[in-house]
Amino acid sequence: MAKSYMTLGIILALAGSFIALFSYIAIDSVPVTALGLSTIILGLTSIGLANTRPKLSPEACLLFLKAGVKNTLAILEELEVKSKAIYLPRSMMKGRSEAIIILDGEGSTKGIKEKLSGSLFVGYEFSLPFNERGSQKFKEVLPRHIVLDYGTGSKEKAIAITTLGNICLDFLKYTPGRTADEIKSAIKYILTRVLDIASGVRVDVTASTVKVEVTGAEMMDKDIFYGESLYSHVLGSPVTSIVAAICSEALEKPVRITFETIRKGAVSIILEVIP
Amino acid sequence: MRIYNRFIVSLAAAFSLTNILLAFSGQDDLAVYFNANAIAYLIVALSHADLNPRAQTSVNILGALIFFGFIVTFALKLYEIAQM
Repeated sequence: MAKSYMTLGIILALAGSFIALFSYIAIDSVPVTALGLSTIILGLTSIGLANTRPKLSPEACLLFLKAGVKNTLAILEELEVKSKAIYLPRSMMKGRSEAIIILDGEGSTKGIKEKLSGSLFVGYEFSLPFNERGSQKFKEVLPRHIVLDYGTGSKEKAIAITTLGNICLDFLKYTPGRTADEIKSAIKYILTRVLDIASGVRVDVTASTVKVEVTGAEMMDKDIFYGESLYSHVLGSPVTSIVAAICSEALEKPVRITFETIRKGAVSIILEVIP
Repeated sequence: MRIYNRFIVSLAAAFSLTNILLAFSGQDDLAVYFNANAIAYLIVALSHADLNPRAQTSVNILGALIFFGFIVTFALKLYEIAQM
């Protein structure tokens, strides 16, 4: 993608230079010289923008994304997960933003709420071979916990998953405040400026819910992220996942996606704020 | 991607409009054309403040160079007036 802007920029800058010089020296026409100057500016702008685009093509990016999503999907299918994920703020997960999925269904939501309002989860660390455990690099990169206990019962377990939304929080320069305007500005910054996958955002915050309307959303791959897929049912579509992670971080409370509809690029989301 | 395309198309439209209007008004001073285009660039850049931060930096650097050109042509005009 960067290549097309670079090519366009070089062509415009060269054509502009030729037009400007030729008209100034040979035909002595000021308007045509001005046209050449404008074309040079346009070309330089295009070259400047090309240098800010990633070198990878969208197809390559989608390839990596699909691989990650399919692996997560395989875990969800294997564990027969049916409940929706709860997005947690970084303050509740030792500085890591993650979504947790309760393994034994909706029945245990009350128990997890009680645990969430109290202390941190107790989790199991990955068991690695000796030579890998000794490596500092592995210790830093691997997640600290994947299976989490939130009660004393053997079935009271959840899994922690890093979603697209959780990773997007790294792009925020500061933690947004709790007001609707601050949340809207953070979501808009990520969706329109950083990722360029939506054009507008509207946010309405109440004590127990957050309603978000995203307009002009890019649909990405419909088969994986939208419709009836298990991934979108549990973790939400990419746009919804980002919105949920930001709202959770801003409100410093766990949130769960309770409603999501997508119609002609407009995404309506209702999030439940878990007290 | 859509923001980038919109920015380039807006810029092309603004430059075209500026040059056509000045040409039809019989303007024959290159400095006037340059300054009008510079102002058009700054306005379009300002109205696209929602570009991503790296692109914004790039647009701002080019804007600063164009603004420098604007100041130079303005200073030359002042010098010409002072010489009269």
